[in-house]
Amino acid sequence: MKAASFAYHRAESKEEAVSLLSEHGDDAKVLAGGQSLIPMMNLRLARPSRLIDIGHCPELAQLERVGGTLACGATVRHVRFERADAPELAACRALSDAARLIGHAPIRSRGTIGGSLAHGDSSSEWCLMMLVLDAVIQAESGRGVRRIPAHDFFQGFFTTALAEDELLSAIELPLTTVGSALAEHSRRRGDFAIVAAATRLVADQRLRVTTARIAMGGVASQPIRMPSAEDVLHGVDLTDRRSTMEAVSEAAHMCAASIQVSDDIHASSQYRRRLASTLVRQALSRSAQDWRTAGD
Amino acid sequence: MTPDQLATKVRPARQGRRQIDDDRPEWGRREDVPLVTGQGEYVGDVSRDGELFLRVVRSPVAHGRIVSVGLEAARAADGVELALCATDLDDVPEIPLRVHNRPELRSYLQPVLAGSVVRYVGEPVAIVVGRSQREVEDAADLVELDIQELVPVVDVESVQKDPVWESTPDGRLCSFVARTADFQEAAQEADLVVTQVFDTARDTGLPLETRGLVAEWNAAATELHLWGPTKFVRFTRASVAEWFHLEPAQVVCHHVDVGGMFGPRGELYPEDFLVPLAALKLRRPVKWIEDRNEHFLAINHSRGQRHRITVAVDADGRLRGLKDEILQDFGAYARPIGGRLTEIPVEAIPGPYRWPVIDVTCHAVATNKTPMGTMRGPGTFDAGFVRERMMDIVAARLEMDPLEFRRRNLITAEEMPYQQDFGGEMHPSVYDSGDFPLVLDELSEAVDVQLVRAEIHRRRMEGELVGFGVGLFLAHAGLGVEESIKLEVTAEGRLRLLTAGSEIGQGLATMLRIVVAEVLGVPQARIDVVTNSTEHFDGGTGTFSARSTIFSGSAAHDAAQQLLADLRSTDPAADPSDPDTWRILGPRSVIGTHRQSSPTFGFGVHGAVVRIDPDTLAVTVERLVVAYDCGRAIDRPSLVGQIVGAAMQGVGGTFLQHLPFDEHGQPQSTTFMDYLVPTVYEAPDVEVVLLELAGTDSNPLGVKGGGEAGIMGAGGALANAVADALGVPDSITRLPIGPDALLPFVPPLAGQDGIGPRSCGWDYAKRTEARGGTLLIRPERHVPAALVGASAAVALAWWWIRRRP
Ligand SMILES: Cc1cc2nc3c(=O)[nH]c(=O)nc-3n(C[C@H](O)[C@H](O)[C@H](O)COP(=O)(O)OP(=O)(O)OC[C@H]3O[C@@H](n4cnc5c(N)ncnc54)[C@H](O)[C@@H]3O)c2cc1C
Repeated sequence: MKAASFAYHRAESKEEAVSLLSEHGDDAKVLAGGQSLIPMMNLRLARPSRLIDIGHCPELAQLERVGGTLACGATVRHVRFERADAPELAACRALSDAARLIGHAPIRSRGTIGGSLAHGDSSSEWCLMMLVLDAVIQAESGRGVRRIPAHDFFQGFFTTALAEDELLSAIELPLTTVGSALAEHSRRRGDFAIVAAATRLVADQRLRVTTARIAMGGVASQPIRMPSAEDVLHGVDLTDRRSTMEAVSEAAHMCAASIQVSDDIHASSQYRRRLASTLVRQALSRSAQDWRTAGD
Repeated sequence: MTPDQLATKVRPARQGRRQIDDDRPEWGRREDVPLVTGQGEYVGDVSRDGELFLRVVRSPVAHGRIVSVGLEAARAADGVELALCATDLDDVPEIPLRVHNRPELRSYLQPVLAGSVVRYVGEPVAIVVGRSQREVEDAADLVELDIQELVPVVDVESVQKDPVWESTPDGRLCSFVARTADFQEAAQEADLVVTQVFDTARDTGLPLETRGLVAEWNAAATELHLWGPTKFVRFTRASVAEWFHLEPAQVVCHHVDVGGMFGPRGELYPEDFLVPLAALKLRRPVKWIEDRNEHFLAINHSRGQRHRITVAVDADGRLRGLKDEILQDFGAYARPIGGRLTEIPVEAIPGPYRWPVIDVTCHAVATNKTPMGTMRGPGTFDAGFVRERMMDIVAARLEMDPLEFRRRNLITAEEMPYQQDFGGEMHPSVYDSGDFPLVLDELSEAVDVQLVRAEIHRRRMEGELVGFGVGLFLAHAGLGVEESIKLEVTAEGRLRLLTAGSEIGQGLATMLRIVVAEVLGVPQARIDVVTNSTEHFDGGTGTFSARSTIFSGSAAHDAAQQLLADLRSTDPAADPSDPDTWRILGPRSVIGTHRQSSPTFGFGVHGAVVRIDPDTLAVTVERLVVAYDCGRAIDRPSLVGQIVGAAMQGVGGTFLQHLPFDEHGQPQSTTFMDYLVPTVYEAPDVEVVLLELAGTDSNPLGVKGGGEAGIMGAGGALANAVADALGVPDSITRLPIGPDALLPFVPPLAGQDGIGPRSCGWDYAKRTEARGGTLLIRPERHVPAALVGASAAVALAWWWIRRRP
């Protein structure tokens, strides 16, 4: 289980990474935390002829508050969110909750948020959180910087909007994450989720829902949003538990009914649908509860 | 080169490998210290001057005719010294049988390299040897295989359109029949007859350390040195010697640490020929370390049985008869274990109960899948699941307490020794000793069955899905007829035991030390043990089944007694605890032996409490209790460790582990992403009740098997607890139990499509009532079509291909 041979470049700065990518984009791969890329190379499922290591570019590892958003460099590691002790993360409890669900400790100390997004696994916690938070993903190349909304970013089976010569350089995240939640289920702790659901509710001062987001993983070839189920929640009065529960149930049911999945060795489509319903309901209930607690 | 010269060439123990302090008082398993401090010396750590690396090229298809194997590109690749396939050999040897109970299996042996037909994904077709691991992997990718595909046989009951073996169109390679009387007659007289079909999925023992072998010849090619053999060292050595026309003594197996065995590791495989062959052709040391991916394809699989079982019983719960038709998925070739694999389930299915009539058959069915061998509790784990599930199902039909139903049929202490006949064709089993009802009582007490049931009742009222179940088992152990061991007194007055047995984490060395220390009255710290080596002592058999304490322990006991007699005759007043006494006696050595032709039978019971999450269908094992009568425990902590570890493997086999194949015979689970083993998070706290009921006189130590007991009843108990939690006695009919097995039986979510909010309550009483015990012969349960789909690895490959321009 040794990788096929490849050339290795270590970029010392973002500029260098971008220029290496413009030069070698078609046969090069970016190496971030290596937690997905290296196993695939060792299994020889991936055989890039060049690796561009971005793990030593200081500007890609920065995490800072810029006005109402969190500017997050591509190589910020999962563990940084998990600990959430940095003041700039104070308002982002939902991010640390999500980070804790990713793999095991060694994976979290190497894996990066940018790597997770560029990889685009259907049940990746980060991908789902970006969808519900309406994050913007920055793609940088010799041609300039593109700002791609998360809902346009995930395009198919491990396929994203990134072009071959583009570096995912940073992510812009809204700073407050009140009303966000993520629920998932796997057979063992630390495994990729069989099904995962992320939700976010935004409410006005009277706790009426103004915006709802639901994203699901493990139910399609890429992480997906569920717009029609989101619509069900608009205008719901979160102080009214009964109508909230009804709307939550209906949305959960719609999500489960609309997904198209096939059986695999880990779960049948029927079981996935059942999980979808359960997890959307759990996540939405937590999102609603979050507002009620914040409102108290 | 003499072995001693060679030994000095092995890399010296790493700097700082901790020395054992002789003067420390008695302490636990000192052989563990280097292993748990990263200082083990495994076969992967063996590095020889001038070594080359070997890569096996394996068949990518399950069934096909080899048209050609193109090696030119591989031979021309950087760093490659040798590439060959079957046609390059004058003679392609086969993996021989070790167990000869079914000689007809000689027609189904595996050639070390496939010549004209490939019969499973992973079958060796060629080898590439070269300078570095990476280069041989690169070169192996360049080998061009032209294989004309045939229709693979994947299911044991499918028609063999292109038979795995042309000579045997129905695929039945061997059979065992145990018929003591006419079952039909018994069934007609019985009040209730119940039939059910059960399946156990393919699984494997999964040693943490994959296989590996280093081979090196002396200059004259008269001596072959091997690092890596374990388990059945004597058989491996004899087979390798025969392949290369040597005497066994010309093959020296050196000690290496062993990272787990569990049945498959250390069996004889094609690589045991291919690696020494390459070393011989190139006159250089050759190293081969299996990677995890090929391990899943190439190591023996196990389990994989289908049982069509019928039980006849009277209304008062007295068993009348047992009928079972077993199909053992045998894989593509017979392995050294031969027909034994097919025989064990027949011997194991009756278990600890009195059956007036049994009628059991087992057929080995060839499939285009990895050949089958043993894993911990071979056949017994499967049979335990089937029989104990059946006992619960029948008890429910009889509306009888499942424990009471079992008690009525348990063989009692007064009936010992009890002979279980198998009709004319098979040897009877003789349960030598034991008190089964007492062990069941001990388990019930440890669990506190009454309290647990009351608690379960209360929790069910609150909407929880919880259940309790038991699984009883007989642990036959003590196979392999004989063992010998050498006990030396060195000139310095230390004692040294040399054995073909392997220390695989089970505590062999400590157990032997305890036995010898006890007989001789010397401190354990003065006794050294050298395992799985033929370097200094080339007798002995090996480590397999659950035999080490019975055989190696008894042989050590014999050796120690001989030595004590020597000492007494030299100086009747000598004090054995005084090191000087031994200095005067040494150097000298004795060979201890133990022979025993019939197994001992330990008996045990697993009890389990499980909870099912009604939303996610996750099963939590809240309690797992094992009561086991081991005869006598020599090293209690090690024995408890064995039982706990085995129980954990049972949890894995019951809920998580399986090796599925798709309809093309492609293995679907070839990485740790798809093959799930329980981790510390999934592991329950196993409670062990160790009973030492004297009784067996098969060996001087009075011990029964210990290494496998912990897994044997686990499947039955856990599955029974799940069925109890579901409130549907005949719900669980296959292992492992994934969420999809529970889906038809859990309260549906609301709404017509069953995925709305879960609102409806869960009325256990109603459900059991609906299934109440009328006389019926249940039709075969519909088996859901094999769940197919891309495994993660395949999916990733596809992704990669798509992303390439
Ligand atoms: C056992 C195990 C369990 C795991 N469980 C989970 C889990 O539960 N949830 C989860 O989300 N993940 C899980 N992961 C994956 C882990 O989170 C990875 O870290 C993540 O998917 C990829 O991040 P990385 O930094 O390691 O990227 P790498 O592996 O280095 O790269 C992944 C891919 O993204 C590309 N890439 C990386 N960074 C960039 C960039 N800045 N610009 C452009 N392309 C880029 C690479 O070229 C490559 O194709 C698990 C991994 C393992 C090994």
